[in-house]
Amino acid sequence: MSTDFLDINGVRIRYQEAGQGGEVLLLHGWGARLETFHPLFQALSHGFRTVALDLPGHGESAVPPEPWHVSDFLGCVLAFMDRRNLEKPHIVAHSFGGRITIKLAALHPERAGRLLLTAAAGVPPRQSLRTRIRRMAGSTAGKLQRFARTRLPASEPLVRAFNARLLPRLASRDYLNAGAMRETLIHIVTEDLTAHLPRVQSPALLVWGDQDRDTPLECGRTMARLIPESELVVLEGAGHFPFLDQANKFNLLAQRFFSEGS
Amino acid sequence: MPKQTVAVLFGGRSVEHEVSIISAHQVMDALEVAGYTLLPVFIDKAGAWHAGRGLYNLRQYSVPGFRADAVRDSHRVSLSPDTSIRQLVLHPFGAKGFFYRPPELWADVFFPVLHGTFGEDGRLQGLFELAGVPYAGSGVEASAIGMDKIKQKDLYRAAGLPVLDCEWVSRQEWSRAAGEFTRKVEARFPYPVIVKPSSLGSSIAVARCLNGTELAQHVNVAMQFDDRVMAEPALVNFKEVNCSVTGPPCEASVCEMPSVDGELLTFDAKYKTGSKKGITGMSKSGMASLNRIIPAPIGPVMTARVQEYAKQAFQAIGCHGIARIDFLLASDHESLYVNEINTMPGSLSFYLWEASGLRFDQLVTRMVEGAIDRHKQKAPTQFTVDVNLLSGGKPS
Repeated sequence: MSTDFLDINGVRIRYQEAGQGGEVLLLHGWGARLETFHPLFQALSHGFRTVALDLPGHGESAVPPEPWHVSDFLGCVLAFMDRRNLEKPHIVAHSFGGRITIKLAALHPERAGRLLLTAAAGVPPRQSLRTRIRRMAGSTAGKLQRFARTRLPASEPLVRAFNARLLPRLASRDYLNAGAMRETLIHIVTEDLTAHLPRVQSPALLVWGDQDRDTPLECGRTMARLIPESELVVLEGAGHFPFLDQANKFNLLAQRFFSEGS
Repeated sequence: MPKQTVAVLFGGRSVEHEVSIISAHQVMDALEVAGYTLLPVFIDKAGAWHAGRGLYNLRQYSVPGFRADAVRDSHRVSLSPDTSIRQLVLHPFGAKGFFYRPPELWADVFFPVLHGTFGEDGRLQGLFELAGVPYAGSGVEASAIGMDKIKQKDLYRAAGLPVLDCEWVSRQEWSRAAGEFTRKVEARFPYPVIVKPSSLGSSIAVARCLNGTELAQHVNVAMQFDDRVMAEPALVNFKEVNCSVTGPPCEASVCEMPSVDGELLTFDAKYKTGSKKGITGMSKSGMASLNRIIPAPIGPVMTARVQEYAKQAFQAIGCHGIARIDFLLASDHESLYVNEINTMPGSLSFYLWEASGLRFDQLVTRMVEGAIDRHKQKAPTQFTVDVNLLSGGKPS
């Protein structure tokens, strides 16, 4: 197994590579890093050239110089694939990695092998009334905050008090932890990729945990309905990280799915 | 073709109860991925059988005070030796009542994933034979011999395979004349010697003895687990090399070299290493978590020799399905000895097959199909004659 860095359009990217055979690229979720895939990486590297990277702003890769959109991440991944000679790899994508993958497969079908989308984001989940109210309050508060900061400098202590007391109750964990990537996160979560799904030509295996609260099973069902050649496998008892919650079964599903395409 | 149902049996009355729970969950994962329908059958430490989908959940077994009969979708069952029944049936003391919905208990194949006593030693296989059900893995004789390290050596010797000499003593003999056994051992082998129970797996009660006092002490310990204990010379600076075989037809996997601190691979080294600790502090990956080098760095010539001996050992005791054969490679890197065979190896040695290019779901499929084939081949065997000797030889 080798770990190295590459400069992709001025952003330093860390990646890991092991194994020989058909190529598999692993794209992690928001706030994660390539090590999240460790058990899967080990299992796949027995029969495949397996490559994982820290997406920009994650793990040990550099933060993008300005706020990015999903298409910027896609451009970065495509450039990375070119540099590492990954012509048409199979892809395992988790959560946010799923957004990049859906766009890649829909817009560049010649670059996408088989897709294993697990707890993938991109389809807005149905929100409970409570979540909708919370989101609306958060969004309104954000607008008010921007207004106050630009037009009413004297309100700064009030804004700071709001950030300390109310923001943790209104904002998501990802938003709170995003740091320099906050603007990027807003760009990403507001992009609905549903329209891209029918254009995905690659065979797709969708693996979902029935206890997933971040990207509920309903998102997986929508993807299974809209991606032409897809199959949904539900892992009982697994949450948002099925490849860790039920690593044995997940690894076998991945090995089997990619072997069929080699 | 309709999906076949596989009953996976695990747990059992054995010191390797927890190892079996882990191995079985790995096997059930693989069977599901291979497309089989599962019927989990958990045998608790008291020997009671429970069946139901609710038993397929590894996490619940690490909860202190776990009781299988408290699990939702778990039913007390048993397997009758009556060939006309040929399936699991509800236990007479099982849950009953107006609203009780009996579960689906049919299984096309039985897949025991039990290690050690009452599961790997031929006794359970005997029940399968009586019930007339197809089952995966070795049969009665091979399972029994696979658990008997003393008998194994005789068969390996007869097949021309190299083994270390040994002396053994029964519990009765030991309690009558312990000194006699010690003298016999000391006359044949210099210290250190290895003491082990004849029929236990997972290196339980295996010890290295440096003198007569230690020998007596460790024989006493081993006698608590078995009624026959053996002693054999301890190799110095040896390496352990393992190889798995499936069949028939026989195929050998790549070899592994377990990497451990010290000279003996102990129960702790086998099951308590690794990062994720679950059941009673064991690694959730079972044998798959052990530190090992795959393929074993022993060169192509020695690898081919190990693989050939492994296949011969598999055939010598008439194994079926899968086995892992453990070898000792002496410090001269030339002398190789067959140490023992495991007819139901931990994690089914899937990590060796994965490295050999056979996925775990393909491995379990091979075992299920092998079980069905063997059952079909046995069908024409006649066990009775159509004559009633009690009525003067007239047809019965």
